[in-house]
Order: sequence, then C-alpha cells, then structure tokens
Amino acid sequence: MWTPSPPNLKVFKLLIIYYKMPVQQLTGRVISQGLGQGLGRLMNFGIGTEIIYSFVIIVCSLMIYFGTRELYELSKHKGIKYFRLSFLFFALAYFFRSFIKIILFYFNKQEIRTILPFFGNITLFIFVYFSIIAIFYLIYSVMHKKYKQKYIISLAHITAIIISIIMTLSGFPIIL
Amino acid sequence: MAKRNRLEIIKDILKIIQENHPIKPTPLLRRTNISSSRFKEYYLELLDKEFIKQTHGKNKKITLTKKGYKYLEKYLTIINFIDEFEL
Repeated sequence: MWTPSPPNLKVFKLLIIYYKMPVQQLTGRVISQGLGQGLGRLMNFGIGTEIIYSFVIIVCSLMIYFGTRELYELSKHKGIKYFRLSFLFFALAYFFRSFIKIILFYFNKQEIRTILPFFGNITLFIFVYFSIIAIFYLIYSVMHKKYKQKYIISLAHITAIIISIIMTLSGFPIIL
Repeated sequence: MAKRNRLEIIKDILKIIQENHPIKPTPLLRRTNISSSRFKEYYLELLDKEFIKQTHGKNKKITLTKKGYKYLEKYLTIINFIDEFEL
C-alpha cells in the first residue's frame, strides 16, 4: 500500500530562509534580469551581425562585378562574362536573404511563409533562383570551354526555376 | 610555335597598327601573319568595336582609337586575370 512520504523539512527551511532574506532575492532578480537583458542584446547583436555580414557580401560582390566591367568590355571574354554574372547574382541573392532575415526578426517568426504567404513565397523563390544561378555561372565560367552548347544556359535557368518552384511550394524549410 | 588565341591576335594587330600608324590594310594583313579570311573577320570586328578607325577616301589608312590604346594597356591585366581564375 502506498504511503505518502513525509515532507522534506530541510527544503521548507531553505525556502523560508530564502524568502526572508531580501538581499538574496534581490541578487536573484538582478541575475535573472541581467541574463534576460544580455540575451536580448545578443539577439539584437545577431541581427546586427547578419545585416553587416550581408552588406559586406553584397558590396564585395558588386565591387567584383563593376571592377571587371572594363576587362569584359575590352576583351568580350565569355569566362569573364560568366564570372561577373555569378557575383551579380550572389549580390542579389544575399540582398533577398537579408530582406527575409529582417522580416523574420521583426515579426519574431521562423518562416516567412507564415507572415506573408504570397509575398513570402515570391521572395523565397527569387532567393533560391538567384542562388542556384550564381553557383551555375561560377562553375560555367571555368567549364565554358569544354561545354560550348548554346542550350546549356537556357537549360540551367529552366532547372533553377523548377527547383525554386519545388522548394517554395513544397514547404521545405529553407535554411538561410 | 604555339597557336595564338583570339585576344593575342587582336593584341598583335593593334600593336602593329600602333607601331606603324597610319597603315594600309594590305601591309597590315601581311604583318599579322594570318589568313585573309580570318584577317577580314578580325578587321571588321575591330572596326565594329571601335578599336580602330579607317580614313575615308582613295587611300584607306588605319589608326588606333582611344579604346584600341586602352586594350593594349590592359592586355596583360586581362590575360593575368583569365589565367589566375582559369576562365
């Protein structure tokens, strides 16, 4: 037969001591408040870091794109063309990525689709599409001499669109 | 002797014009050491892209434009960039 165990008197004594001691209580509140504020600052620091990180990536990518403009205009070399385009698309992808991050932070959500369904899907689609195209152009800038078929670029764009549509509509969690 | 690529041929043509300007098309063709059909292709391309200009009239002579001089200036940079990134 089950019998209840006697209350732990030691625990009660400690609780009474705790609540009778205002200094200890104050210290506990200060610690918890400090922790809360610290965590709050870390969260703000996180989004601030994200913005700075995205800004650096976008600026560097655009510097490469505009910096190689003269070289391309003079030579019309296809490798340089695709190399430039990849960094342009990287800049655009990171622009949309930072936009999504800011929206998520503002609304304190994990998925942009829950905040703005249609607009969120479009933004996600554009981000995924630009990311895939940027990677394709970077690889193709090195491989263009081997694969000279005209349809490769069109095929890459169509594939990127299909993948972007699938990822956007399937609800697959996109890690930004 | 290694085969020249497109950029190198353009550089050679522009260099010859720079050293001998103004120059007539036939002497230029002889000095570039390429076939007449290919020379015509490059010649029209350089005219189209405004790297060179030709005087009108009876004696057609070719000179470099500002863009042509710039190409010669930046040629090494372009080649190094392409080699560095293996483009």
